[in-house]
Amino acid sequence: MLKKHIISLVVIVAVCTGVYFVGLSVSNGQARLPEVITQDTLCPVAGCVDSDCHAGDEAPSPDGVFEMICPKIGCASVECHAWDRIVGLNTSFSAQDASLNLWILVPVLLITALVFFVTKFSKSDNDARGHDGSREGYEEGNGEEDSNESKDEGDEK
Amino acid sequence: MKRTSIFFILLVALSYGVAANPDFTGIAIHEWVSVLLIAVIVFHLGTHMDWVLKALRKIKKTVSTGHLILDIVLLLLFAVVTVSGLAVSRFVMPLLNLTSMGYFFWSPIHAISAKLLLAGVIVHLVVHYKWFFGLARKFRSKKMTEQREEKLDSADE
Repeated sequence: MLKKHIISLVVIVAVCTGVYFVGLSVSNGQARLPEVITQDTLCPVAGCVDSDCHAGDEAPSPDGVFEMICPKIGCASVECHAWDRIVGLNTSFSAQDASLNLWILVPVLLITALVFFVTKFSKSDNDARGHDGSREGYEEGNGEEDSNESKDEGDEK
Repeated sequence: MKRTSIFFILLVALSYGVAANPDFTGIAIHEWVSVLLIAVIVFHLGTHMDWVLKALRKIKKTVSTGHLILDIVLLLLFAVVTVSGLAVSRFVMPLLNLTSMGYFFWSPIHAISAKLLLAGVIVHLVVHYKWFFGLARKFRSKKMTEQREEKLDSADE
């Protein structure tokens, strides 16, 4: 059992690593490999080098001493047209950033489509031995996923 | 096994419920519970490794192809959410003295993939409803048997 968990850990780490490098390659240089935090490290959100960090939630106003580089377009002008977008705002994307329709309708449509997809693909399996097929013992929650394994092999022979 | 399964499912549901609501819990709890969730998912995948391997071996003979595709999509989405979440992390990565540039690349990916993962998890639960009902039924019948035996024992005394 431990071996299976180690394999699953390796699989998840491998998939995550793959996703990370795909992300790096399509980010056009926006994303970079993790760096060690030093005194000169820019804030990853606001591009600020003030050692008194105000955190991503509350980017400081420009004070003429520390420059703030706009992380989107690289502009350092204090007459930024988007300060109100950054200063004092939580930079996490939340439901308020999109319309109610988007947060209600899209998930409902997505879930309906996925249920339809899975059901359609699995319907032809009902005669075969599958997750919802004759292996009822598994679906009934007895946890014996491979109780029919030896029987299956016998059938194939 | 049954009792362990029920506690494990409750643990998964609780940790996912907490991790998927950063607006209510705050970012710190969101990040640390999500790290816990990685361990939970590794355990979940390890527990069902036999079914995955069997489905992969017999994919042409069709063993619940829909379920397998959905599970692979869920794994990919989980990897995207994990990687993008670590890239924009404010607590976990800084604890390791690491930072990752590319906040405005990873943050929208994290937000979108998290919603897709939520939709996928709901579908995953819907298509496995028989397993949950079976588990609950067996747990209930076992409890009733235990109560009956206790009553008989007390009557004997």
